Amino acid sequence: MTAPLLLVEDEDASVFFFQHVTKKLGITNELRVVRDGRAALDYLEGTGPFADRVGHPLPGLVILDVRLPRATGFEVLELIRARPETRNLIVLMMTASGSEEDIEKAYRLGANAYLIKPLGLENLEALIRSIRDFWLTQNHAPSLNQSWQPQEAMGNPSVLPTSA
Amino acid sequence: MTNPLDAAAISAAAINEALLIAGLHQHELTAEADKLNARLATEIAVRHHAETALELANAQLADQADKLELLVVERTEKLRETVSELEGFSYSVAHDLRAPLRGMQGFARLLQLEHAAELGPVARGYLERIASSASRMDSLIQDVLNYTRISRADAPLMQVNLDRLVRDIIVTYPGWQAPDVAIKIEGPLPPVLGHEGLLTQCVSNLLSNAVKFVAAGVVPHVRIWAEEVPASSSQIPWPAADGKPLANWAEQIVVRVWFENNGIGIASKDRDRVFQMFERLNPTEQFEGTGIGLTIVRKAVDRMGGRIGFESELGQGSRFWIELHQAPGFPAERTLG
Repeated sequence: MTAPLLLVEDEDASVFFFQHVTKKLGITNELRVVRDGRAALDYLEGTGPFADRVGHPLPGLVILDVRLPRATGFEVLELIRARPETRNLIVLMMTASGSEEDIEKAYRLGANAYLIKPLGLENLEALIRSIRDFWLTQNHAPSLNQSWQPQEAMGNPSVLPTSA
Repeated sequence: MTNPLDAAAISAAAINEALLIAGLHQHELTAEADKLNARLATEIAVRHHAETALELANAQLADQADKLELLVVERTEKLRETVSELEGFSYSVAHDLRAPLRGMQGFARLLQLEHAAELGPVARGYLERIASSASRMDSLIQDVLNYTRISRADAPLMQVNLDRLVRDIIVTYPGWQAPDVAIKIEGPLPPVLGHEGLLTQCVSNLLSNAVKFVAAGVVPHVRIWAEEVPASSSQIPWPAADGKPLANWAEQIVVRVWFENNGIGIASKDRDRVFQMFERLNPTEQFEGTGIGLTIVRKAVDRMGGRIGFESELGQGSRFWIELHQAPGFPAERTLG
């Protein structure tokens, strides 16, 4: 996947560590960050300060916190799944809350995965490494249906062994 | 000889006098009767007045009682709301408290990993302590979160296959398998009335303690068995699953599950402290932990309408027991003795 990643996260330290670790792990996808639910909605709808789709391209993967100011992560997720342009977006919830109700709700609203923010820098590294290896490398992302987007590189390594 | 006329006159006079006297008496009697009637009327009026006043008072009382009942219902609802708000509040506060810890731990670690050369061993040591303080704080917060989750979650009780639950739990801990730890279940354990999540928490915590609190070099041995005991063995009214005492509690049979270990034991002077939140009997260097394990177990057992207790001697291991209601319908008919 070459499209940018969108991180929706309001905590300064979390944003910093995420940026630091993605750089350290050699993730080349551009990392866009928005700090609250309203900004996330604007970005994904292409409104307000993000009206320019060339300057603010749709991401290929969204990492979404649940507890956000101005609009919750669940509201953002609902919008993502409601709009045809973003319906197939890969959305990974990444949040501090591990409550069963939140997890149930996330999957019910159509999240692709639910990750819990770890304590410990090495644990965060391991988590982002998993995201890099699984979601950005092995997984085949849906096309975003935008005419200006360059063709996805066809070099995704296939992990499944071909039958003998 | 008396003149008949005179006799008649005398008789008439006598009759007149008698009549007069009778008339006077009658007048007196009438006056008396009138007086009595008047008094009676007054009394009746007073009584009637009193009855009316009583009726009014009763009506007012009934009205007050209705208002009070309504007030109680409103206040209970308000209290329930407040409690749930508080629980939600503490839940989100706990989350907010964990965020800065990620910052502390992360930046300390970054310094250690990426600037180790610039820092001497002393500085690196300080950073290590910052990181471990953050870790410890995080554990405390997670434990509190756990505890509030147990307190606030709806916990409908149903039949739980205790035997399978215990065996499943043991299997999930790689550190609890032979030869590191010897856990023996004298089964099969009977089914109980409980809640899977709460019971899982109880058993995990009890076994975790049994495995942890052993003298250095000793292999932990845990023996688990269950027996049916009469509820009256405790002399304390046994609550039903909803917390209210049953009418025939003394005839109930409950399931007592024992967890016996060969650990360091608990001194009798410390008996009351083990269930307190964050109370730890041993220093951190000897045994890590936040001291909330048994607090959570007791809370969870409470919510299932059960009881918890233990027998222990310092240096002689401990025997913890939890009592739970029998699963309904199993067995069909039982009597004592």
